[in-house]
Amino acid sequence: MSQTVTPRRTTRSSASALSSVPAAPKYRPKPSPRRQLLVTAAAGPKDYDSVGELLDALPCRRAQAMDLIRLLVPAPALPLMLYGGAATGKTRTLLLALTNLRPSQRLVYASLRSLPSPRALFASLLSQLGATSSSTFSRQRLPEKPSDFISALRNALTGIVSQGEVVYLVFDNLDVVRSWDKGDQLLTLLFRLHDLLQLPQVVLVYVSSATPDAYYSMTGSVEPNYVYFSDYTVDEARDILIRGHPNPKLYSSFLSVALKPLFRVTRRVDELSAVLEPLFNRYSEPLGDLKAVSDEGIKRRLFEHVQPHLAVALSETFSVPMRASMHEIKDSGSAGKGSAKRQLGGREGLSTELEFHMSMSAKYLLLSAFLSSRNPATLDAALFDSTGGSDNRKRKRKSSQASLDMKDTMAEEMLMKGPGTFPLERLLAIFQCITSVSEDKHEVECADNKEPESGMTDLMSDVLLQLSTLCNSNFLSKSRSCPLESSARYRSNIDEDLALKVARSVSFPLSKYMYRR
Amino acid sequence: MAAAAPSSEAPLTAATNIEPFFVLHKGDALSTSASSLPPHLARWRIDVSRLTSSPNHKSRKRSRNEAVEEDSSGGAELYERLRLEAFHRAWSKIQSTINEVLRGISLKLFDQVLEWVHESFSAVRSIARPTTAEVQQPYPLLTDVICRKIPTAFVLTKNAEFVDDITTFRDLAGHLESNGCHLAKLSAADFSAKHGVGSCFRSLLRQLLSYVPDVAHIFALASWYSLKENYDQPIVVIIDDLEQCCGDVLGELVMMLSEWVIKIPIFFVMGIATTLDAPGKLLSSEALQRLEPCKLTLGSPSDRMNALVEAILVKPCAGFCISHEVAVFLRNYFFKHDGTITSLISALKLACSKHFSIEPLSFLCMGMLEEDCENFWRNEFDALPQVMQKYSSGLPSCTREMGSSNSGNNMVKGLSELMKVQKDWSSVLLCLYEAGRHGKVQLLDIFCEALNPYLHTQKMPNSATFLSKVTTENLQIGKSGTSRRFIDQAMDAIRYLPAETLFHLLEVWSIHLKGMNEISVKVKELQSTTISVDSVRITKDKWPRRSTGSAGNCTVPLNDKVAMLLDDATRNFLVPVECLPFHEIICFKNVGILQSALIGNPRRMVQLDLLKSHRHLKCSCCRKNGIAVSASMHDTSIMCNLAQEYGDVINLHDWYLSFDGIINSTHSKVKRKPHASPLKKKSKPMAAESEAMIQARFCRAVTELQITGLLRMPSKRRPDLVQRIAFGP
Repeated sequence: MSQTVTPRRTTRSSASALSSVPAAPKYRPKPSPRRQLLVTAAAGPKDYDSVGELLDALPCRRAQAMDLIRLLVPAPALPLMLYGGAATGKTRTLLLALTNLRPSQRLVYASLRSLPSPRALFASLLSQLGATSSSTFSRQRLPEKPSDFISALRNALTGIVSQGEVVYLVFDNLDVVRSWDKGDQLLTLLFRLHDLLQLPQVVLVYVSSATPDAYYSMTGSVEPNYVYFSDYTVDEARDILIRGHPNPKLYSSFLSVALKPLFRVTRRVDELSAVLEPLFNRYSEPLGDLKAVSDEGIKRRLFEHVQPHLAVALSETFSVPMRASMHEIKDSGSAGKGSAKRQLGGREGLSTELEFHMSMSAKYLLLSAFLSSRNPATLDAALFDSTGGSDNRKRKRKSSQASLDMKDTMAEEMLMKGPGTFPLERLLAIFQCITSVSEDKHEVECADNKEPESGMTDLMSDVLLQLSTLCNSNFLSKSRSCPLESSARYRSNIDEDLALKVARSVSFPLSKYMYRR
Repeated sequence: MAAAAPSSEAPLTAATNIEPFFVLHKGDALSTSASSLPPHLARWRIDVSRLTSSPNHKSRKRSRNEAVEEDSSGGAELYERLRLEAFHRAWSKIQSTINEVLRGISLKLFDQVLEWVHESFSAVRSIARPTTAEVQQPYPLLTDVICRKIPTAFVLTKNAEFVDDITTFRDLAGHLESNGCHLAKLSAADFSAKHGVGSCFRSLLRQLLSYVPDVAHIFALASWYSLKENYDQPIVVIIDDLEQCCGDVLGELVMMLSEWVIKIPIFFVMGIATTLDAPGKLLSSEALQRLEPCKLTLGSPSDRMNALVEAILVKPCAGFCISHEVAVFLRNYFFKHDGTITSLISALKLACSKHFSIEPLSFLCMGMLEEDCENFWRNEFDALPQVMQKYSSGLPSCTREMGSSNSGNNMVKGLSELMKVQKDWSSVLLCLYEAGRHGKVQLLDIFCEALNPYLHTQKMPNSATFLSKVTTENLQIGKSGTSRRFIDQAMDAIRYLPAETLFHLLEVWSIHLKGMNEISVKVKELQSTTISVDSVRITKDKWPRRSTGSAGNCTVPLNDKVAMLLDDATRNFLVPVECLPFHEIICFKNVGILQSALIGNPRRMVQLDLLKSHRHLKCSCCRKNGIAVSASMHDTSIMCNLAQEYGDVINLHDWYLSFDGIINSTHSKVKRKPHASPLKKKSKPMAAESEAMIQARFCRAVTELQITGLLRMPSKRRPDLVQRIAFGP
């Protein structure tokens, strides 16, 4: 299996590196009993046990681990690059290989994700090498320029290397750098370290979840040896997931139904385990005794029990996988058993009402923003007339039917483009129209309920305040512009669901005003 | 000029720091505005300082005796001071009640959060318990955990407006810190795209570490955390306004910390104002994957509102209450405009201060808080000067009710009666709310209805039996809309309650109705019948076949009985405060003041002031020619008046010509009345305005109109037209 997924480039480059590693066989036989491992590991300084342990700790990463051992054990002349998708065990394999095989070596590890700037990277590397202790860093001694850093690094390294030690410099999460400001320069520097340092005892290891192609344009340095970490297959993923589970029997029967559909959505083991965990809890819910022997009938029943949740999880993993676990936590906190129905029914329940409080004028403003983002501006006159009256709206609409047809293509285009932008004036005009309409209705509804003031002016009064509230909560976004000219344009970010909820909460007939093709 | 304003208005505006915005003052008018408001104001401010130093009772008595000897204005001063003192006492009482209520509500959440923190901490520690040396290693700990997730609590604040929650999160931070968590609070300002994750991490470090290294990286945090005194506590990072954060930066921070979460147990508490979709929209899926979410909710704003209304307005807490109109206004303001507790409290404070500054007898409110209130009122009344005694008997509410004999006794009696009725009113109202709770009726709605004096007078003659009343009510709803919507809804809710909740309801009622003997006896009776019904039902459940019919028969009349009792109580005891004599003393009714203070509508006010400037200035020159525009008016005012003649665009040239015409027509008048207005004083040295001067004044006026938001400057496309923004008189 591992032979098929290892790309040719890896094998070729490792083959070229193998010149210094004579005894290692290129491929292992597929069913690998420990005897043969012994042969493979003979090249290493460590004995049989530690390699076995290492491979045990790295499920389904046998090929990569072997590659690594071969490449690492006599200090390699070339830098090393581990690449492959996220959550494929790159860092784990590397660290285990390094710590298991050479416990005495110096390991300098820098995860570029936790070091958000080049300066932090330099400081961390130097402090790990003992050149400076991190607590006594002073401004003067901290290298600012790459050239200073290189010389400081070389000084620190030569001190160690001269004692006969091999130093491993590991740069993890290298792909993060690409999005940095001036990330190219740093990447070039890191890749050229091998040439710049000229120290054979220093082994550079890069770990990246982007393929080497992503870095080609920036280098021009010596090409490292590659080790590719392929994505796990279904079977491998199952093996990994089942590993160390307290109830492997039940879990494997659960995985046999749940893993395959989910695997179509994501192949990352971490995501899978996150989604599977609550699902498994649901799965084992009907069983009183988890150790109970499960026959086919029980399995079938359990499957029927979990199937609706599985369907939900499938669609949610794709968009926001956190949602499922959210319900899970909430439900398990409040009620134990009846939660299954509630979770499924609750989704519809949620969609009918607004979950948070907003003032009425903010709601109307949001609706008018939604309308002005959705409807083409040319239709405003047809939908709202100057009095905002809803009574003659129909007539108006009919008369402009022809023009509606004419604008169809344009409107369609607008829909394709997503929500449009609009100036403040248009927003306010629509706001005034829809508030006056709904106020009229409100007045009719409760005629004898003495309101102290007609509501329209009320709603209009602090509309800019409400606008800023909406912008703050990300419902509207505003383009930057000169405040005096007031030519800022807005765009509404809400989806139709939310708009409908808001409309329902103020009983505003939103769908009447929405232009649809 | 401003001094000419009605004298009763002046201290009000001054008292609350809400000063009117005068556009029209120029030159000397400005200088007078500072010194002219003040005869009252100056005294007021001095009083404040004096009062805060020695508000004790004896000195007050003595000073009163002196004051009686003084003239009436001195007496007025004394009572002003008394009122101010009363305001301070009442408001501090209200404020402390508010704080208590809000803290009670948020404490529930705080304890939940704390529990969650402890749970997550033990969960993280159960995975691995790294030694301090391991924590300081730069590379990640190798564990069997497939996915490293940061436990994250999303706190739904359920209000799009954020103001209320600032204090909540501040208190939460204090609560967690005092319970042994390391705490850092990040706000949206820390997550700016410009400075990136570095600065955000630095401000995190700054809050935790005493010494922040020059280069902020996570090893500093790791070495700090591995110190002995820090090691056994989780770190909680509170981000109070998630929506306003920059998603990329937050995502990076999440990714960065999640690598370390097993070594450094760091948890997030994030406040979400809107929906749970917000983090999904903000963060990348990779970052979301690293969060282990948990949802916590704060009480919704209307819940908090209900609790506040109950504590402050329904239960007599400070001897101050509001009228129906004010209540309806506050409710509408809450739902339509602001929807924050903060604004509700400020509105209440405003109402309270207005009440104590307007109502001459308002200091008598304090009697409600005294132990021996009748005695207090009697003493106070005897000490009142003649004018105020007369005023008290002339209050509209008591002239309506009773004759004029022995006003002192009347007042004392009236006030104690008022207090008693008010107490009954609040107990019955709470009973109504308890019932309405099952029908999802908000306290605020019932409160507004219970305050409505019209409804009360309306329903008094209606003494029909309950059943027939219900039917007529139903008809009424069809016809005239919603006269008593919420109270009826509450009553309806009772009729569909199952026996258990009904029993519970009666229990709660008996607590609320403790002081009212007649009804509580009836409640006790009903309670005993419920118990018997319950026991009957329990025994009958053994023979389910027979019991189905009879049990159903049993519960229906009981529900009706309870509803009837409540209806009875409502009719007899739910007397709105405005129907009682002397309610003016404790009840704030002036909704207009509140409205103008809260809903400023500034642009409209500016325009109105500009159009009717003579009303405010009260100068001799403009009043004579009434509506017509005269040159003695302020330039901006003239321009604004002229602009009324145009549509939504104004031709600049025409506008200028008419402005020029008016200004130049002045100069003929100037000779006739030379010192009429400050404007002319200034322009006196010039015999006739030069063209350049008029142009300059024109430009200045246009700019002022632009700044006040009444018009927009010409665009490039049509350089000779300005656009009007504000319309209508």
